[in-house]
Amino acid sequence: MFTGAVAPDFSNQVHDFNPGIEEDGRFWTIAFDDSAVEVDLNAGTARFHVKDLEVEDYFNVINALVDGPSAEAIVSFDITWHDVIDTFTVHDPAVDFEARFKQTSATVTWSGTNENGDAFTSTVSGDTVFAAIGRERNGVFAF
Amino acid sequence: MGLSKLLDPRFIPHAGRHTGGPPVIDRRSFFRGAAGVAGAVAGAGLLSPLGAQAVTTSAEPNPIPGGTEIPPLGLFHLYFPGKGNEPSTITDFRGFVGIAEVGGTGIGTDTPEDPEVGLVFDVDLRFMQGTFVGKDGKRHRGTFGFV
Repeated sequence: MFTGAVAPDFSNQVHDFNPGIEEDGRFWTIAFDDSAVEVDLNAGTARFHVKDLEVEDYFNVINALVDGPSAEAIVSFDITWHDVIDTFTVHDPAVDFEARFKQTSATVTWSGTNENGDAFTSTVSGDTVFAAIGRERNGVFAF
Repeated sequence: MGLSKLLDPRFIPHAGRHTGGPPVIDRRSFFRGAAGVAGAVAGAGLLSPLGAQAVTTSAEPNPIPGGTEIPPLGLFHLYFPGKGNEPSTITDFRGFVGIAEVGGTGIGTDTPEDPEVGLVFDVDLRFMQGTFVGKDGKRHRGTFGFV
């Protein structure tokens, strides 16, 4: 969350909610119940929805990346992928990754609150910078 | 947040300000009030302490071996959203993926008594659902989210 357009040094960022980086380097990624995700690739739609997820508020992304001071927080969100713009495949042996994607638009609603009493609720889902859904395989499953 | 902003050539790394301050309530009270049902279920051992739909898995996945170098902070095991970039943050994975960087606006409050302020948000959300090889070397099925 920012108090205006994102400043180059993130000095106007006031919240950064994420679950943290695991010791092995797994980045902001945690397990969910299968019911949190719904995908219909043929239709070019998907949904990822979570309620009352316990995370941390690191206040700004740089502080998050260095695992600085944080506050306990809870977030809920509901994001949908819709309206296919393009279909493309990626085959990148350099990173053992291949995938077939549908680039889409995306719409999100979300809210968060931290233990200090700070709260945020989205009101308008704006521009999609980039969104895609697809099938991917990497590592031992690639190629 | 949308981490791709870190690629902005104007980006100036710094530790930033920390507006956290001391908690005004203890953690247990906070989670009891904000997610009481989730906490009760977690206490029954069905879910991890991470929340209503965060779960413990039969095996932990490994992070992707590569990633993005963010000087001077180091290498982080993710690629930013973009055409041609890998969305998954776990390796030895085969399945559905979704990735989205979306901006928007919202309302923030410091406390229920304080006036509301308009804020801008920028989120990077992803999911991975399918088969993965865990740290135990065996295949598993699971759903993971990048939040």
